[in-house]
Amino acid sequence: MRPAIRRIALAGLALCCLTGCWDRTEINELAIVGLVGSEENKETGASIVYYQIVNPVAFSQESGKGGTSPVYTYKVEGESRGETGRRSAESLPRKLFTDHYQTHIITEALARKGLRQFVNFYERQYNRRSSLLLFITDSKLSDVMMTYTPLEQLPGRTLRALVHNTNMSTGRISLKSRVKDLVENMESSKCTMLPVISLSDSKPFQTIKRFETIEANRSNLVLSGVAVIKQDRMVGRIGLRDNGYYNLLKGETNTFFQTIKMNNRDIDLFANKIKVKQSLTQAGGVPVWNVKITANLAIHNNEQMEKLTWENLSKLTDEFNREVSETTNQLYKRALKKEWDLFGLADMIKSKRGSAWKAIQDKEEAWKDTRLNLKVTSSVNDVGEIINPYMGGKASGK
Amino acid sequence: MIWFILLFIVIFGGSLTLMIRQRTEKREIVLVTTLLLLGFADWMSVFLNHKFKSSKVIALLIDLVGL
Amino acid sequence: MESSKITVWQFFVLTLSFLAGTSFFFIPGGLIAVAKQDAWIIPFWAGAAGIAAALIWIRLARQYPGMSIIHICMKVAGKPIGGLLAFLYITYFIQLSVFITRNVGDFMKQTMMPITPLTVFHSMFLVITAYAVIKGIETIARSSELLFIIMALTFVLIFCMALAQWDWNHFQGSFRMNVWESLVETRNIFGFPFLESLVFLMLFPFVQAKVKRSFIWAIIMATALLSLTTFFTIGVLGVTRASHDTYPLFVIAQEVHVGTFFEHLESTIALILLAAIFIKLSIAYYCSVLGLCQLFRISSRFWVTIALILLISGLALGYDNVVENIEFSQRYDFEYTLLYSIFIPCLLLLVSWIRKGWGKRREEPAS
Repeated sequence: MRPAIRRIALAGLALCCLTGCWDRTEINELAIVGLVGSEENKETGASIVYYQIVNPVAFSQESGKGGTSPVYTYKVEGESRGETGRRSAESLPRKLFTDHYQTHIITEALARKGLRQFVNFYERQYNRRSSLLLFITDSKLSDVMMTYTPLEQLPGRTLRALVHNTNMSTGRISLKSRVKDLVENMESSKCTMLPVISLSDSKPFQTIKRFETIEANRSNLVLSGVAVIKQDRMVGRIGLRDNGYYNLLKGETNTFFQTIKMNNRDIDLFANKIKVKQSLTQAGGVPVWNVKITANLAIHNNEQMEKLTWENLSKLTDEFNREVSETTNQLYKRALKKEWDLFGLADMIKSKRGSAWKAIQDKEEAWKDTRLNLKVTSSVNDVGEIINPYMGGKASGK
Repeated sequence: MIWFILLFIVIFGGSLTLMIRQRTEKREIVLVTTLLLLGFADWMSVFLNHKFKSSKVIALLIDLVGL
Repeated sequence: MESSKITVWQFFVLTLSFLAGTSFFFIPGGLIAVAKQDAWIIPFWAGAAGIAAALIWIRLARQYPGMSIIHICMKVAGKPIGGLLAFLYITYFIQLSVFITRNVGDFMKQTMMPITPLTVFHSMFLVITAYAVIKGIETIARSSELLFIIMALTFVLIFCMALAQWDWNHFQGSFRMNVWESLVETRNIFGFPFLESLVFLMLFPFVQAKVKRSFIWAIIMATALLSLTTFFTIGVLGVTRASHDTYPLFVIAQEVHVGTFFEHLESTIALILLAAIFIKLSIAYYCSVLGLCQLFRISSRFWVTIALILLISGLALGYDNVVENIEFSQRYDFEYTLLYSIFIPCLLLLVSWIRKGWGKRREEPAS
């Protein structure tokens, strides 16, 4: 009996050492943050943060008949970045819980001023997620943060879904729009691209009446472009279409969408299985960036009045290759003109060795002279369900 | 701090009586007592906000020797 | 005194876990911060130095078979001076245990449980380790055999899953290291982990055979592993991020994701780190206890082990934050370890050679 009792006592003692959670916080004491937006007070320079808190009541089975807002947005203003989080206690009835939020919106003004402080603050936190998606907004932040998104009721999740879906369908947004991608380029010359979202109307719909209207497009959040971030500062923006070419050239996308014109009629091509090979060489004291792109094409739409033949298809791929190289070249030249090192050329040149490169490296701005030598090859391997178009009235020659 | 001192006294007394009852060697009792007292002193230094930093002492010694 | 024996394989595993176990976690960040893309080369020269030091130790141990460093000190330098040297070694072992204990605390507090007080981690860990120490070296060896396999498998698993993030572009600009500068800046890698393995001077007597071979092989393996981990960290995380994070490998595990359901493996990697620290701490702790027992000729380890918990957990609080810890190991660890790992063993070797020569010369005229 005695050894048994002793054993139980020992086990009991050991059990006391199992601390569990030291913070003794119950889940219903937490304010779970779904989306955060930050901006700067233009007059005082204080930092303003909007916390969008998920309302658990709206999602619970019994009481979730609707009638309550799925999210609540709190605005907190503080002297510094750290203070805002702490000052949330003055207005929130629950403990701010930021461990799981995955989307962060920053105003364009703040992004143009520099994101260094934000990044350093964020990366220092224990509970950070380096896969946090970053968005820049050109609309008023308070409006963006108080916009209901239909269908997917959590705006944070909506934004993430927009990025993923766009990436899958056109490749115009890269998935590398996270804090860690920004951090990686913080100390190099390479630019980072972050998606820009805008409010589609001038004023948001601030009550849950919003969910009762059928007009999904009214005051909703949409992707409207891409911000170019150099180190930690936003230096400009490009359109979504251009960003598709950027992603293609950089090899950061698996999908790409391109419309070409043949015989004055549109053909929509969807490229997949994209392979990109890049190398930097030099010719005559000028760096040359060689990029080889190969892709498989699927015909999504073909408005030609011709039959698809071997010849026609080869014309089609030629046209695709030409169109893509031309547009990409234009983007490339525009970027060089604006002094955006979108592709990290400066770093690539710096890391080259050999005497031929020495001369190039000595020139401060050699990367701006870099020529792009782009070669696109493609093949059609998916034509869709019908091979030849229905001719309609044209068939009889009328 | 009070709790720590109380706990220490209990452990110290308990282990001493156990050791004496088990007829452990004198050397061992002396060594264990010294170690316990050293540990106690160190803990007290932590509680009294004069942390004994062993690494600082080593660093100081190395600097003194001038390696 | 106990007459435990550990097999060659157990000894190999012990050495390897001691060397690579914690360093693969704490070392790469510092190396990458100094040597950028070439950081993975650094472990090689450190490993070479480690092997050279190991040869000295084995030489010393061969001259006095069946004796630990404490006995050797006493035998070579006589009771007063030898006793002092032995005592110095014991303080080194205790300091090492303190350092390792603090590593657990810092790591857990910084990454997983920021609100839990440090002492809780320290005392919990020390109690478990003390239990292992009381049970003896055979127990430690066997448990490390088991843990080693689990550690290796988990590590390989995480390694494979993180490979999805691999990017060769992170190596852009390699092979342009300033060798001498990096050597000086990262000299702490000689101390931690390689020269630290001098604690095995306490364990050589327990090994049945082939000490030299398994010890050297363990060092080689540890070097390769360390280099591989650094290489891997650069490839997955990139230089910029790896050099700013306190625990790069932890961040890698955090970012592993297979689909959307299999992610955040950081607790797994924390677990293998804890297992590794357990092995390392139990060796260092065991050596301090054994040293004390040998020095004062005490036959049972129980009371000494218990008494040391208090001292070690108290001393482990002697840092205010992780920065102090890192600063110390970067600035002083090398010099500090050098004294124990090279200086004293060489001195002992020298003295024993002189004594032998002296003895022979004295014998010659007599014959």
